Amino acid sequence: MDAASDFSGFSCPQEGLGQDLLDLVAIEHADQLVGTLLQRHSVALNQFAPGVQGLLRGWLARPVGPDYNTVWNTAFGDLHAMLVSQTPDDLLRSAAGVALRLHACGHGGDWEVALPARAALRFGQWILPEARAISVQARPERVALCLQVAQTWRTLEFERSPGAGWLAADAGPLEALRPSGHPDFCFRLAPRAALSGPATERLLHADAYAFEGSDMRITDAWTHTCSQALQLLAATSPAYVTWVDRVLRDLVPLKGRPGIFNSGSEQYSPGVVCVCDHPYRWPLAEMLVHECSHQYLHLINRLGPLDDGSDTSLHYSPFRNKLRPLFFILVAYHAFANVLLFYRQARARGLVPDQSVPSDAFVHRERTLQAQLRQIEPVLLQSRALTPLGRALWQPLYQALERASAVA
Amino acid sequence: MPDPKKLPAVAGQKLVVAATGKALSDAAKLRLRSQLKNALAAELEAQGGTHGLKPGDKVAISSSVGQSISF
Repeated sequence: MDAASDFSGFSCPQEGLGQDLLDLVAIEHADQLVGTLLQRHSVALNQFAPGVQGLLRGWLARPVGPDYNTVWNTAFGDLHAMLVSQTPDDLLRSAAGVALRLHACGHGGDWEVALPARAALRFGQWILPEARAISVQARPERVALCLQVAQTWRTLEFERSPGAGWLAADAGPLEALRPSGHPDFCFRLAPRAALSGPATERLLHADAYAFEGSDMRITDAWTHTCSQALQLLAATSPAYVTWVDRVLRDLVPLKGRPGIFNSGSEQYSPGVVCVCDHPYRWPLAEMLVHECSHQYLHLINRLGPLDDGSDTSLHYSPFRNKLRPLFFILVAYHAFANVLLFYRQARARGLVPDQSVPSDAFVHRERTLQAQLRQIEPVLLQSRALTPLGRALWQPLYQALERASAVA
Repeated sequence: MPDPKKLPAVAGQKLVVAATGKALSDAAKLRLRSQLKNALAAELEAQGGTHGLKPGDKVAISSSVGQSISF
């Protein structure tokens, strides 16, 4: 079996992505990150975060087992970003974030750290108070965290309750939503404090938009819209529910701007998707499909480049109305072709747009997407710069759309 | 301090999703592990240079849909 057919599951849900492949890509990558952290920074960890190194080495030596949910998490993304950018200022915070993630998933250990600056860390579904130092005693069923908040130490205790996850006496967790009801998959509506400072910076500034930290907010009305969008996904396509379910972990609402629907994600924030908080369920469902498609692209990209860099020319993208490198043409095709397949499934199932809008809205959206995809297909078809991984990402989608066109 | 190796990963339950018939062979797993290791090493060596991007650059892949959002 060649690489293209091996990795076609990252293209679209219709291809089927084996969990063992998803596990391997996520877990092996995380293992490599932790190994690199220990290799590069063991002296600093021993000096400033005693106990963390032992925890991480113990985790690396764990019995083989599925840990996808443990590592598909923004804590590992922050570690990845810190290692790539070589920003030692974030060493201790990102190492502490990974350690707390392991505890939240049942790995025990005792450690402490003094952070160079106050930071709000996360333990499972909880956002901890901003602290300058933290001391941890963790067992599989009970975790005690001592946080230096201002000039005082505050102790938080968590106990694991069968079926309910971690419980704490005096705080409310982030709200969890389960698109498919699958017990292992859920995402949380994440306010600003749920993400680290570096992750917030990475996510809020893109070439398509720029937001401020204060734009990250959760309203009751948008939470309702979110539930409606998930219901639409479920009614439209079980395949796309699973597509979203397997990779979405933190949904970050951004303050909506009139007439524009922004969304974003980035490669160093696994499972994190930002979307504007407009009260429209269909665009939100579309953006979930779109951004979660990017998550799969980030995953396959961990196996290597999607293009070999030999094509240095720019190509017109109707999605941005500007010239873009080949890599971003591929990115756009992958996301928008999945959106088109999603809308076709919606129409095939007899779903209709909301009552207050034209009944041909789906058809109009489909035609627009199809025309835009047609414009960039020649670039991908003729490219000799795409690697087998890059071809695996777009060719199954192209074939699926061609088949649908032939039937129509 | 307890030995982390002896502790169960309580949350790491087996994920159950639709069978795809695409189970990986041991040889494929070995090959993929090597591929992942090499790709990450190249990325770290280049400081995120796989695509000319690194954290701190404006790396978010995002959509700005300037169309009507009224459906």
